Amino acid sequence: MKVLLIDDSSTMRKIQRRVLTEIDPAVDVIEAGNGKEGLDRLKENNYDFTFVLCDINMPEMNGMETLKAIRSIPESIKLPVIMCTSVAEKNQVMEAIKAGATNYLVKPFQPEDLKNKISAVLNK
Amino acid sequence: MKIEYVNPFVEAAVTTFKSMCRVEPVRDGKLELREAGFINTYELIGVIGLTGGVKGAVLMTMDLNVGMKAVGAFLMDEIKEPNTDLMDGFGELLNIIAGAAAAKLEGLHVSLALPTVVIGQNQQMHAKQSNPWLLIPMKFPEWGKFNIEVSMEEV
Repeated sequence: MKVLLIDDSSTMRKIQRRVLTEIDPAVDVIEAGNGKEGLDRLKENNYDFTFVLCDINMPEMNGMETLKAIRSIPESIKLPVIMCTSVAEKNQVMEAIKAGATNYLVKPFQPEDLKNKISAVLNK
Repeated sequence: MKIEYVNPFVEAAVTTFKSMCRVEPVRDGKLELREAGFINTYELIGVIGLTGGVKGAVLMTMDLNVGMKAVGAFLMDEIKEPNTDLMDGFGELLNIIAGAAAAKLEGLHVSLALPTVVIGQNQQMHAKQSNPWLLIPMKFPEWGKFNIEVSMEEV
């Protein structure tokens, strides 16, 4: 399993990395601190990821802009993307789904919630 | 600043700390409305601007040792001194609290700015006459006191 984590919080990336390692001790995790960096990591890795976990509220390029950019690139048009949001207003979640999010995770979450979202994406 | 804005922030703080830090904070005393003047804070302060259908900010402040325990629980790793993890984790916890509160204030369409965290002794913030702050005293029974403070008006 190879996962791209895009989140401006290094603490959140550490927590997510720990959960991913519990699911798959051999997981290859690549990290990015904003959407722009995330798109660079995608390209550098030839878009070869099992899925992307992407925060919404970030500097430089936010999560919605990043998701739209990912979906505009032919190589990543079908790449599973789980959006991670702290503002779970229905219209924002709907906007993410419309823009091509595979699933979404609402903060605050427990490790089991993240594991369930990942399982849902892997079993699709 | 309407009193009904208080509960979403209290509930969001309780849910966030329960889910992410496995600790349950409780209310600790009466609400306080500060219409103008200086407000004392604890050593560690995080603040996030609120935009969209409102203008204002939410602030969380606690003693350094309380903050290190809270962020350490969040990270599942001990924090022994102020470091990047403390500052980043404190901001992220506030971000999650503000986001969860914003979701409960759905009709207001609240958007969040990015969090800023500062640290230092004897800090004060200033409330303007037209921009009152509501102080919500809370505490972690195991660790100590903290405040959630909100200043918010509909636009």
